[in-house]
Amino acid sequence: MGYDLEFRPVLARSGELLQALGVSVGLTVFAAIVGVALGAFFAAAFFLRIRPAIVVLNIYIEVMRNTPFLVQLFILFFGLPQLGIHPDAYIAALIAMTINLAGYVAEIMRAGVESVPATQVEAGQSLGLSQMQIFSNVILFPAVRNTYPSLCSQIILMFLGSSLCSAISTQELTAVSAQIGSDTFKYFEVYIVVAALYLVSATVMRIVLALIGILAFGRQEAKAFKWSTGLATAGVTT
Amino acid sequence: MSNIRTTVRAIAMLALSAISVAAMNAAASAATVQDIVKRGNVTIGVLVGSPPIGFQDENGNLAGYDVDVANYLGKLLGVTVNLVPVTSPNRVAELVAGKVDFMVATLNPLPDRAMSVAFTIPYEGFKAVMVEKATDNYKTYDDLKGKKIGLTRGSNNEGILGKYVDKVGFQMVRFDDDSTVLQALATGQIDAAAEPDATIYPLLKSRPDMGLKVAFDMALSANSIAVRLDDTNLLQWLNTAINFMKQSGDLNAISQKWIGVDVPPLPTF
Repeated sequence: MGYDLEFRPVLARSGELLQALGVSVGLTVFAAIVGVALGAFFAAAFFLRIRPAIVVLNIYIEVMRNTPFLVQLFILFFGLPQLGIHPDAYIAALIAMTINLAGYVAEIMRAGVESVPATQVEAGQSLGLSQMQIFSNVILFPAVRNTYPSLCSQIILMFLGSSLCSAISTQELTAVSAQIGSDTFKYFEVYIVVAALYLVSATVMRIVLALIGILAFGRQEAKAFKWSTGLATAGVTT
Repeated sequence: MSNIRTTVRAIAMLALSAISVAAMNAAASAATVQDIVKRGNVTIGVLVGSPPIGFQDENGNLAGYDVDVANYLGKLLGVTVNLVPVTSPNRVAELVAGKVDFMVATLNPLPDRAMSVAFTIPYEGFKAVMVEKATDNYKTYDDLKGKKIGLTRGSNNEGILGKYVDKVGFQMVRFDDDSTVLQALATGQIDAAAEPDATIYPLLKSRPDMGLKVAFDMALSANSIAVRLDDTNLLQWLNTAINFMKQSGDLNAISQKWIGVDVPPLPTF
């Protein structure tokens, strides 16, 4: 077929691409921090057996996990205005990514909470700790440690999912790449460059998350739970 | 025993992929008129998601101005027509990657783009118009200061609006197709939208409940068919065919059918 690749028109606009990458990363960092925190709250509701909350949360989690993220974005962006709220594209993307991630994290952390041995809970109870105290002092840390690889994967998946936000006009990396493609007609080149940007960014995120894990949980734990991918990428030998 | 099976399977897969690559190449990379006639079929890319220019009707068939033009050209060639649906973001990639022989997809012939594909003389011309909610009253670009103006990513409106965006000071909000832009306008997520008149006027008639109206006219843009840069043989034939369509009144008939107006005066080059 003899297709000659010409990267110059695409690389000439690398400023725009990097700025848009910043938008994607910003969305992900916000969603990761707030989403994981929310997920931890939801997991607490399950542990503390707050009946009404559990019913609502189960519905919410199943909806988040069993509907396409794009559909969730559309419902937020085109549906909310019917109720009088007009989120702009960036805010809508933030909200959608956060509540989507929180749904997955709640499920992951629920598994993590259940994985903490019951003896720990009983020990806490025998010390006279309240259920809330047991959750935050005894359960939470081991739960996160046990499920840390899943949490990291989910965050990276959300980062890649941010590319769908272009459909509601958020100017993140995929949106800008489509624009550069239509301006220059160098679609092959621009998508290769953008794929490389996503790859490098996701890898850096994995490394950062792995290092946070080592800081929080120690290298021995890291070895015990076989975080081979994250650590190998970080160049850490255990 | 399992070694032989694995080897046979590997060879079979290799053969299959080689055949399919060859078939793919054969299907689309041969694009002189003689090759197309000899092959007996032509693969044409047409836009979808932009009624009435290119869209899917209730039965799921492709229909619209561009589709009729594509079918007409196939009839002139005397071959069967394979229509491939494309959208604004991916239409050029499909052509350059060899998936289609030529592209009838509302492409504005700009010099930057002409470095990647070859354009025929224009076969359609649409006026870009600014659409607003029925309750608004924007008269000129200056009324749009500080507002959000929606458009389709990669459409002709990028260039038209781009000329005014810094001078007037509005925000360009880009969506993937015309339908999403109009949905954003109807739900109040944007203040106005730049759309081709061919899309808007039929929509205003069929969907008065959306509460939209035309604010002001923007600019006329003429659209061409695109072929790969090297296919000069096909380019010349297409130019001849388009000129024939214009002279014979057949292009006018298509324009009347889908947009209700005659073909506007189109430049030739």
